[in-house]
Amino acid sequence: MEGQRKRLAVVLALVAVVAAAIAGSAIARTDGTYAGTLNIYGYGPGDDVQNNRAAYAADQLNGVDVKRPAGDFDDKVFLTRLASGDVPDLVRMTRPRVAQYAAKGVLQAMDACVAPVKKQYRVGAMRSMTYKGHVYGVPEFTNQVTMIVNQSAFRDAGVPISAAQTKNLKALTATAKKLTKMDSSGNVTRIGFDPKIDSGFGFYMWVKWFGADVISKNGLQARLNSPQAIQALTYTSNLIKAQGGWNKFKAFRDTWDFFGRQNPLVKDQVGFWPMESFIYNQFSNNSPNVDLVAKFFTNRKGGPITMFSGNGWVVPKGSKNKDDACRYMKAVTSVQAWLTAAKKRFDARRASGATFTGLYTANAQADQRIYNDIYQSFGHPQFDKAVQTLVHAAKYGFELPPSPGGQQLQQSVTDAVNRVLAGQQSPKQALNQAQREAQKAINDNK
Amino acid sequence: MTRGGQETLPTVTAGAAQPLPTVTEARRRWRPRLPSSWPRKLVIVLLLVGLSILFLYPFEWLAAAAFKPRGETFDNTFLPHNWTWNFSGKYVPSPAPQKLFAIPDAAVGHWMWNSVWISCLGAALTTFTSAMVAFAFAYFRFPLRNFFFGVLLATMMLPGEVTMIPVYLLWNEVGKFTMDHSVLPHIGTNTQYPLWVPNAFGSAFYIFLQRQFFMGIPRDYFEAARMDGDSYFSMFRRIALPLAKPALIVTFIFEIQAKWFDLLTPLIYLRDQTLFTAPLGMKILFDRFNNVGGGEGDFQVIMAGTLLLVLPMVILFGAFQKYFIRGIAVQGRKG
Amino acid sequence: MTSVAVNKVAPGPSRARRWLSGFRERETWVAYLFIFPWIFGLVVLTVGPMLFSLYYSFTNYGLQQIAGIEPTKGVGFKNYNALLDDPKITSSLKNTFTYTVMMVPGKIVFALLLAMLLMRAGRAAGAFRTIFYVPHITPPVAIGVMLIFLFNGQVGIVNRGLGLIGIQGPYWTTDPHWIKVSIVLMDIWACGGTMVILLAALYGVPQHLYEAAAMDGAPAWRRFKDITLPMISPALFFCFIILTLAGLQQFTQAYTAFYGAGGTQPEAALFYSIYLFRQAFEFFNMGFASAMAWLLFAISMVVTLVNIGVSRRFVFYQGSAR
Repeated sequence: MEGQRKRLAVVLALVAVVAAAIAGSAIARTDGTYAGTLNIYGYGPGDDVQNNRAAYAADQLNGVDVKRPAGDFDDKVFLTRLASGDVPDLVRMTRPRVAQYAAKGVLQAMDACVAPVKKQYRVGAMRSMTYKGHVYGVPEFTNQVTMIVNQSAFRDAGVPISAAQTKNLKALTATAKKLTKMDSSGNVTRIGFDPKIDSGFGFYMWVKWFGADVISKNGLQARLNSPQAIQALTYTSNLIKAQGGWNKFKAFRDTWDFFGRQNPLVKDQVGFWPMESFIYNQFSNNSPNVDLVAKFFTNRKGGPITMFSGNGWVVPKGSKNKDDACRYMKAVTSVQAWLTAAKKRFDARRASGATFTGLYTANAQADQRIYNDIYQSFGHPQFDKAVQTLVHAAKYGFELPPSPGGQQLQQSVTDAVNRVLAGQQSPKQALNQAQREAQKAINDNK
Repeated sequence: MTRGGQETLPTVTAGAAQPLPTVTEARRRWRPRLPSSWPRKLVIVLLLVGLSILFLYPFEWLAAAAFKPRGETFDNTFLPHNWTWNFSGKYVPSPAPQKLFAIPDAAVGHWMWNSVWISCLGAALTTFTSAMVAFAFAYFRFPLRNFFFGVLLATMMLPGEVTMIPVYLLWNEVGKFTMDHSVLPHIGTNTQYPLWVPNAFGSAFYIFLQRQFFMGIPRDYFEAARMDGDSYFSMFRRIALPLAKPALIVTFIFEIQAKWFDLLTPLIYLRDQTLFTAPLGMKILFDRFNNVGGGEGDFQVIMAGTLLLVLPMVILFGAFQKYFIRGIAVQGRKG
Repeated sequence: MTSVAVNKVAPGPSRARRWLSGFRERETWVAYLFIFPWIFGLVVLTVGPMLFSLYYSFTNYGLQQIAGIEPTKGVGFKNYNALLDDPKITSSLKNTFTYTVMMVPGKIVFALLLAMLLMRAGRAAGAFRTIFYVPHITPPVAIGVMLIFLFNGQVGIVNRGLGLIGIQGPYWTTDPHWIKVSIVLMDIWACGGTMVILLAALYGVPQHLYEAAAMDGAPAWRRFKDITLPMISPALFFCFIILTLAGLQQFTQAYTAFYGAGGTQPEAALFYSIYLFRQAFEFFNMGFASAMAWLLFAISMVVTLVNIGVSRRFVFYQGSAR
């Protein structure tokens, strides 16, 4: 009968699927970890730079079986691997995380390994790989923050480019107001200056502008409600209010196509703002003719400030191949690795007519060599000048000192900024609360 | 039809059992009909069309974005200005825009196949076992029934984050055990078993859902079969299952979709790329091409892949939804 | 019919003995056989880990314990006390409750209306059924776009539409008072799953009941109230319980909209599950997160019992033992 045949078909299908299941998982059986294997986590196949550096490093570690499963670092996955004892030999993670894991004793100190090459790396970046006097690995990238200035907006508003400065706050507010545009119904159609106070770097850079740090050098004392911090938050929130208020500001900003061809520079949606360096690559690819200028973000004396962010290489306790891990992480962030990758990228870009805006690593020597030996103009002078600024800005970089309560500190800052922007608390109240929360977290985790 | 003019509307309290409907009456189903008057028709049409636009907008956005070139993915235009085929093609290395199926070290087609068989297998397993368990809760009277039903509900009340690590450790132990006894296939972490084996034990959500439907079947149907000497299991198979077909189909479709889109379980259990499922694969690609990490921002590939993820589910649902209607027999009283 | 005389029957076996004798019935053993797969999975994969997490909530289980560097030590009720002291717990619970109270009835009503609309859609019903279901399976990346398209304070359709009738729409995504409402509306928009369940239930209502009522001259609302609602009450009950539990554990919608990359993470959108996730996987306070989970468990238990109690009056099952 038809019903019988149908049922038979279903059963057969089920059997076939189950067979496929068993066959499929049989492949994953061999999981040998023995000396001569290096299990890396957080560094899978990536863009051309990543792949080329990995090839170089694997070359240097001739004879070692380097395993690079796909996927970026994810806390949940790392936790499960720690819990099951199946710890990777070498891990690449974001630098803010390094202190948290180091403080809990999950990572191994690598002082002896890093000492010979320590001088190559930028001081600010290296500091964030150091906790309680021990170095835990090497930093990889740096994204530094510079000011991007939309020249056409300035021309349109009749404001000289020299007004794109952060030295004089009163003048800054005036410039921002002049560049802000609103339409007839009161909606914002161009933001003058976005202080980026709600970003991952904004608050910290602005507090530095006012001359203070948000956390002590040893990472154990939070300083979120210092007078300078309160001033920083007050100034920037007032600046946003003067440009239409947070609601309109944010609603407008949400409509931007940041990374595409219709980016805010092309569509004249913003005057100037501080931004991380990776964006130049996007802008040069998508809109190479856009009229931008890169400037330093400076403090009140005109000295450049920039904040770094990036990732780093660490070795967990329980790593089964500490020595090869040490060699690999040094190899993959070495000057030669960066040069090889940069040259290959430059050649590929030139061949396809795209632009190359340099690489921004934590290896100061590599950056200098890339700029001197490899970088060549692509016929877009505004980007050439931007690259020059970027290369110099990196000298003035700082990062947050590693702290055991680092994640919570950043969270309380974000929450405080949000409360102020939404008008729920004054800057003083918000930062007092943030200070309480952050210090408690640090104390709990010490 | 009224009988003796005394037919009253059923009230909340359960009434006495009625004789079974005849075959012809069982065939009569309530069909949706268009209302007769044209103003009402117009209102209904307007509502349907208006709501459709609202409901379809994100899907349309996704479909359009999948055909836009890199750099225009998020321009939010209704149709692509430059139609681009992002799915397949010759591989050109970075910085050229990538094609979904031509990315080195990314077996997208294999990932999709993994998603297909894991979702189907898991959904089939869970539909069947949940039906069995649901039927037991609905039909049988047995001690501790209410207690176990309470436990069933309770299992849905604990957020999954805090059981994630214990369950992972459990699978890890299973894995170690099967490694030591190599006669067994390797079951454990870094295999696909944790993705579908739990389905073999039913799932509280579907057990609850199907129980509700089973409880709507009058006991007399079963009594008649029992009196004819049917075993409990064949009674379940021949009477309960067909009558609860809508619930079974709903379970199957829901679970396929739940497994299809699940990211967390494959993320923590799978390490070997050949075992990946499609959502995990999309996340991997996103990590790779994300411009914050230095990639070129090849989001068009992610959109194309996501569209390929969503489309089968829409088609699946479109194909199956009519079975809700066809498979339904009349339940309950004779008029 | 009923006699007034008191029943004079010899006292039977005690309740306990009657209950125990249930185990001798064949029906009982068959029933246990039927539910055995679930019980097996329960014991091995569910109850075990649940009990573990309960145990963790009384310990200092954190990153060091997970990594095996430090032993897990019991800390008594410290985590639970910390729950009471943490202001974010109260605020996130409030957010979650407000959201659930708005979402559950909203979603059920909207889904029911959609289902009933679909029943009047004639032959095109199939296509529309699929269309109305699509939001349920639209991935988060596209939902984020939806948020901007609909709810952006300046260019969103909702505010533009409201502007047409002279209302100044709020800033849905930044105004703390309206953020939850926008999440609720997004959730209601994705009610396809609930709609499908209610549709299946609606199609199970026997037509002859409606015909009999129509012949008796009952108006449409009366037919709805006394036929439709009782007949689909098992499904409604299911949806109510499930949606309430889902509401209390709401995570994905809010997380994608506000806590993803570039999100502003407003406190009005800090739902309990998001805070739990954060404590577990960003701050690594697993013990505390477990205590949070079990607090939510207790709350869910109470809420569900209340729901069940209330529903006893309203849910109508046609067959089987109650």
